[in-house]
Amino acid sequence: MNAAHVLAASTVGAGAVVAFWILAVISVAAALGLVLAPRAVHGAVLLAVVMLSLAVLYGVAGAPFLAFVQIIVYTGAVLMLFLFVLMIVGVSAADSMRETIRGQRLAAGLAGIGLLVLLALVVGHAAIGPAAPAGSNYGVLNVQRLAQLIFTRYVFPFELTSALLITAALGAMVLAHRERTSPKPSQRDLARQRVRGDHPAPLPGPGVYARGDAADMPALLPDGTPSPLSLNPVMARRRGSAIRVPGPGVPAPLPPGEPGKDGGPDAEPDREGAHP
Amino acid sequence: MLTLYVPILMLAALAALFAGFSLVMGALAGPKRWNRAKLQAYESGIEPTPQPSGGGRFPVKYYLTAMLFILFDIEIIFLYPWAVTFRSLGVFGLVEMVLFIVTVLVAYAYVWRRGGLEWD
Repeated sequence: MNAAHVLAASTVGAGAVVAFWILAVISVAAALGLVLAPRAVHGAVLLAVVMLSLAVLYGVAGAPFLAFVQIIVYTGAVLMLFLFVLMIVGVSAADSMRETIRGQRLAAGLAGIGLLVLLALVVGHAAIGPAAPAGSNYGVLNVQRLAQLIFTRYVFPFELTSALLITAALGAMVLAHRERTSPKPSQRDLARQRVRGDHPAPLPGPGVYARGDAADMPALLPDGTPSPLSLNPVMARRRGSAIRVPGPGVPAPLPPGEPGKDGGPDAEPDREGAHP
Repeated sequence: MLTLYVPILMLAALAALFAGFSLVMGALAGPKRWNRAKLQAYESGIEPTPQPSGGGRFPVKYYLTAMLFILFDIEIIFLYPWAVTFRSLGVFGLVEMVLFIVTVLVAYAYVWRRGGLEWD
């Protein structure tokens, strides 16, 4: 109620109060879901909801620049980075609930209580004292005033921001980039490797089957028997496949004189290579 | 003040209406003649392999892509107020923005020359 009064005092109009109450319900519900969601991806999506409603709140409070930054940077980029990190770690990777550091829960509880007290003090102070001062820097001219400050008075910190961005790129390179130790195989190398390998000619193409996926039907050899080479071994081992392939390195019936040789780069049809 | 956002609200309402209308009309008016192949997940004609345990993990190279995206996203954030006040800032504003962009491009050039953008 205090917050609503603050909002009502700072920006005139019933629309702001209505927006505040709608967004408050949405964002608190989403935040609760974020904390309680068992899966991290659901938590990230709910975090997006919280961030978006925060952005609308900024807009309602007369700070359009902050609202756009909230959407473009936080919802668009930072949350996307969260999702990328989730995918890198593994979508359903779960943390162990066992306490490994002694006294961690106690410390976390104390820190939580401290944060609660701090938040209560800040909110109470904001509710008692004057809220966001209404002036020419708020509202319609917000972006212009901000731009005049950034590009005249604070131009040096603004240029320093680019150095910060360079640091971020460097850090990402240090963390994620692996230097190539051998030269990249050229097309000539690949072609030579293929001709010298087991199968200079392409592997037999898959057969066609109207109601199933084409790729799980074997091609027929000239004598009418199904060719195991034409099937991805992953698929051939699945239940209900038309052909049985004992293992990934089956000696093919095609080159008769090379039993058990399984080294060529295209001895197994590459699953990703089959994508268009 | 809030009348500024009326076009955005209308756009959001329009988008929501369009999405809801498409879903409902598709469910109501579309023919439903399914068979086994149609109900399968489409993976470029390949039978989808079962998900690996743990949900599967993506290569860490994507982290670099995400980081570069954030870099240029933050650059855009500064371009927005700059574009709004472009006329009143004059040549001074142009020069400082060019300086800023060139400095950010240094990071890009570094990542590029170190081979961070090569996928294989």
